[in-house]
Amino acid sequence: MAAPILRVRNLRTQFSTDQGPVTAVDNVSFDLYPGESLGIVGESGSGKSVTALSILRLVPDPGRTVGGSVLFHEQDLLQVSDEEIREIRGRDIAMIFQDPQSSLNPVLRTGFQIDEAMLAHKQATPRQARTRTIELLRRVRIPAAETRVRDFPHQLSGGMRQRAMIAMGLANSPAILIADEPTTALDVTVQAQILELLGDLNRELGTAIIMITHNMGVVAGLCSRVIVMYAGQIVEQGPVDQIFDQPQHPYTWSLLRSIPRVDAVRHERLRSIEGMAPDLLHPPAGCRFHPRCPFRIEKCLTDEPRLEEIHPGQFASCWVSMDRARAEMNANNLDDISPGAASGLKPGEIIP
Amino acid sequence: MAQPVRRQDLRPMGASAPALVRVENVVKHFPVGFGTTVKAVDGVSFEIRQGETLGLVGESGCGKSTLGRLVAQLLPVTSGRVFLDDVELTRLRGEKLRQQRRELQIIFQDPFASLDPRMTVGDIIAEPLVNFRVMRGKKLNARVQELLRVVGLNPYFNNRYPHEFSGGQRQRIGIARALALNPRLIVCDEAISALDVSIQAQIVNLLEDLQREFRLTYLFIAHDLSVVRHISDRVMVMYLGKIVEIADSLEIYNRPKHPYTKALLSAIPVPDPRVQRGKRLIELTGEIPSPINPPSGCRFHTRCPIARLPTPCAEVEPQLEDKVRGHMAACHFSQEV
Ligand SMILES: Nc1ncnc2c1ncn2[C@@H]1O[C@H](COP(=O)(O)OP(=O)(O)OP(=O)(O)O)[C@@H](O)[C@H]1O
Ligand SMILES: Nc1ncnc2c1ncn2[C@@H]1O[C@H](COP(=O)(O)OP(=O)(O)OP(=O)(O)O)[C@@H](O)[C@H]1O
Ligand SMILES: [Mg+2]
Ligand SMILES: [Mg+2]
Repeated sequence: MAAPILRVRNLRTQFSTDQGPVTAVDNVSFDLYPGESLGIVGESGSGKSVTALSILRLVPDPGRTVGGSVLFHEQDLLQVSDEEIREIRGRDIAMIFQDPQSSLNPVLRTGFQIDEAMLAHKQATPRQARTRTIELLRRVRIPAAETRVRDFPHQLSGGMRQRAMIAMGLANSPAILIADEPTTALDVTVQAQILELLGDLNRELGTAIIMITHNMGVVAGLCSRVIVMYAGQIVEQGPVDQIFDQPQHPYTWSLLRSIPRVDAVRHERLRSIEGMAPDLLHPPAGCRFHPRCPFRIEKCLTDEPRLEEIHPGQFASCWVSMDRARAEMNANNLDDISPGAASGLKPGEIIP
Repeated sequence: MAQPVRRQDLRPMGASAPALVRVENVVKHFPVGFGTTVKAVDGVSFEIRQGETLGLVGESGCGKSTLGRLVAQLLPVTSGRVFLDDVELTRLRGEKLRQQRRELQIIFQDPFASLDPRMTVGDIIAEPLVNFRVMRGKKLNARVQELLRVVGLNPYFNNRYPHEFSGGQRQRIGIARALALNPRLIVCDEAISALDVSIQAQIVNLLEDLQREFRLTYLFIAHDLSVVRHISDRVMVMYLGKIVEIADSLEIYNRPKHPYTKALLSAIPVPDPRVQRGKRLIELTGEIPSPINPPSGCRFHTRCPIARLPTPCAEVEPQLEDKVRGHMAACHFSQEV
């Protein structure tokens, strides 16, 4: 395998609040390889967006990245000068923001803003930029692109705005594209086309993509590896097939079980994970998932698990792991995903 | 492709329920300069029955959000009429309209743009209650905290500002706000697409519980067709400003009668990497047409795999008509789909 294009190590980002620091990203490490799509999934509020923003040093106040390193071409993005990081942003590493307002200015015409993305890095003359903007808008399937370039963002539908942001992200053919929920507003046919476009970028240009999404179908279709986050930490990572077939962390397992199936009974209650996401001001001791975990054992309440390789290439941070839960705790026949649902089952003592 | 029905439906369909909202021939055109207009919604008629969930799906840009806003009276119609019970909303002005609007709430697609960044979350949720002078003081506080709990957020977050929340958390603030006034109809415009699947499930369960308890009615706009199928009693499909199909949701998923619906269903991503990689979609070839200048005849004819060209498909506009037992479709060749 080629060398990673991005190495994130022990990344830690905190927000200071009146009640103390909130650690939104806690010791996150991963590698990204050229030509791959890496999925990041996880609980809402688990730190996916803040991880992405930390990589590009875009964490808003009162947030600060307090530790770790982000190696890109031998340089640590957390250490380079402000000017250098500005050059890298948008040119080498582009980001499609979850929040349309952080990339589209409401008072400027959409096409102008995409032109600017190229002009800012002196990648084209104004005329070349406009031609490429229209071509990019066509590639993301915006109809009548030559007229639509003149629209203000509010004149576009939600999905068109999202596609305009994707076009902007692609403007400078970056080596790395970080896409934060880029398809939430797209219908499935347009989404399929966008995923195909991103897949082509992987294959043809070797673009590395970080795809943050809640849509497991998107992960399944595009990504080769996936990272699962919970409460600021990576709880599982590995090849996509393995994670879908044999998730090892109980959070991943419960998450996958919550996906509504297209052939499910109508109006039937959907499965969800009982309980609330932990308060990051006072994260639970031991494993952060233990208050909601059906398979917890005593150790989980006190000792923090670390990521361990459970199958080749597949890492999970769990004292029990789903292999054991399936074998010994009857996990596959468990109907609800409530805390301690496997009570009474072996091994170890289950805390009620 | 369409999945067979496995078991019985869990809730009998309110097929005979009276209409809560009636939409008659509604048109919304946006002028965009140079004498051109975007025909965002171009003559649609349908009803939403009391206590039902009507799903609304369709291509990005086809007019779903615009239609949702027209129903919720957040946008004036260009022409046509919208009724709530027997009251014609499109004729009301001022205070009378304001009172009716209370019954119609909307959860917006974009959780970032729809929350005022200068207000605390508590104030955002309390605002409708204050505006309509429903309650105040301690009672108001208690209600806000209850609403936060209902959507799965920590009740003590009420003093925080929207920017302190993640995308999915903000979306839930919008949901809490929409629930505050106990409205009769909620337009959910991509209300859950920013949420992880477990919280999606919680919110869907919550919406269904509230519906049972308060006989709420939903217009549920979403791109996730599995969720739409799950929550909807009937599903309406739009294409380029027009309704192309409406039917009971199981019926439409099992036996689509419009080629656009069929293509849409074939593109549902499957959360299984092996299936998804090997999947063949029904390719929708051709450019996505523009609502500034929609194609003649049937608007789908430029991309339709079964169109007969030029006649009738490029010449005669198919009407939305009952094909079998309440299954409505607008296609000249629906029996061939
Ligand atoms: N300005 C802030 N002050 C305090 N906490 C913050 C602030 N901004 C973000 N956070 C917290 O950081 C955590 C991580 O947020 P992030 O946006 O990364 O979540 P996410 O995983 O992207 O979620 P989603 O899927 O909902 O977008 C959240 O719990 C959020 O409440
Ligand atoms: N204020 C406006 N001015 C001009 N055009 C508009 C305005 N609002 C919407 N439009 C146009 O109307 C059409 C329908 O937009 P709408 O937002 O209703 O689509 P949608 O079906 O909700 O799409 P999506 O799934 O992407 O959210 C689009 O072509 C859009 O550009
Ligand atoms: Mg996010
Ligand atoms: Mg919309």
